Amino acid sequence: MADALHFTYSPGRLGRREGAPGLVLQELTQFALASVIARKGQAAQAVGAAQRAFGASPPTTPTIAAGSDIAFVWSGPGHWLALGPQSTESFEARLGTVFGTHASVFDQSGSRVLLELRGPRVRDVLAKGVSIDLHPRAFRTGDVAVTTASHLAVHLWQVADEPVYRLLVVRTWFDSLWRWLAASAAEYGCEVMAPTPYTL
Amino acid sequence: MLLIQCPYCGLRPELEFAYAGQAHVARPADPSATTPDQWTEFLYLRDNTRGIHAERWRHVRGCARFFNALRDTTTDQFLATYRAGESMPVLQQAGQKP
Repeated sequence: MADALHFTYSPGRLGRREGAPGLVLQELTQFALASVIARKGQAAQAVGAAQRAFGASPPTTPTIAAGSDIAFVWSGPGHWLALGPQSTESFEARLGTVFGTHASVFDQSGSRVLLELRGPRVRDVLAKGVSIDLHPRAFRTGDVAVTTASHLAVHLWQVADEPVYRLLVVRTWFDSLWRWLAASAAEYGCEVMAPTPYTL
Repeated sequence: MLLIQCPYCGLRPELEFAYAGQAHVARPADPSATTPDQWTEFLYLRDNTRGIHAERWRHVRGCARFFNALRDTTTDQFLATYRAGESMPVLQQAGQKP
């Protein structure tokens, strides 16, 4: 953990100590990440190729689509982030074989930190730095937003109705994001869990 | 907070966007055949509209795409947004001429 490029933190309780935590925070590790950008006029072919190979259709609206072991997070028109479990096989090569000449694939593994946020006050915490509407009438399970959290560019999506959110942030900005999250969650109490390997 | 409808992402706060100048300014197809006056017109001269103005915006802190918008420069109200490459929408209300 004592990596100069990796901001470190310790599991435990932050902020208010009494009662149940308002926010439960857990880092998800050991995932492979790649950007997939459709070539000009080839978005439909790229979507079809992924559908056939992974059983997941890269979404054309700001949502996330999951197949058996791969998920496509919408990132812009004809632009996705592919998330999968880490393996000895090259994620980039596996995607590149499927997309062929329809899309450009670049490995981004290690470039981002993935956080999972849950708890009864998770919306109140996010409201302090995320300016989009996260009310269930506007943002539901499966919805994705490319937006900012405390002025840092993030991908945010909802994975369950409780609600549970996942937040993907550039690794070198994790330090800043963490400080904002810890300060924002302090009044509700924040339970920091030990990191766990990524699952869909 | 002013909300702007990104054609790709939906309603987002103004702070995620950047203004990118007047829309529908076409580069002359054959630059070598243009006169210096025509080139000056293309390169430097822009409308200074009081009222409805067609302009480019970029959702720079979101999907990063450029799109076009019709905005009333007297009220800062966004009347319509549309994808780059699409033609300017016709506004329904009487008296509004883009």
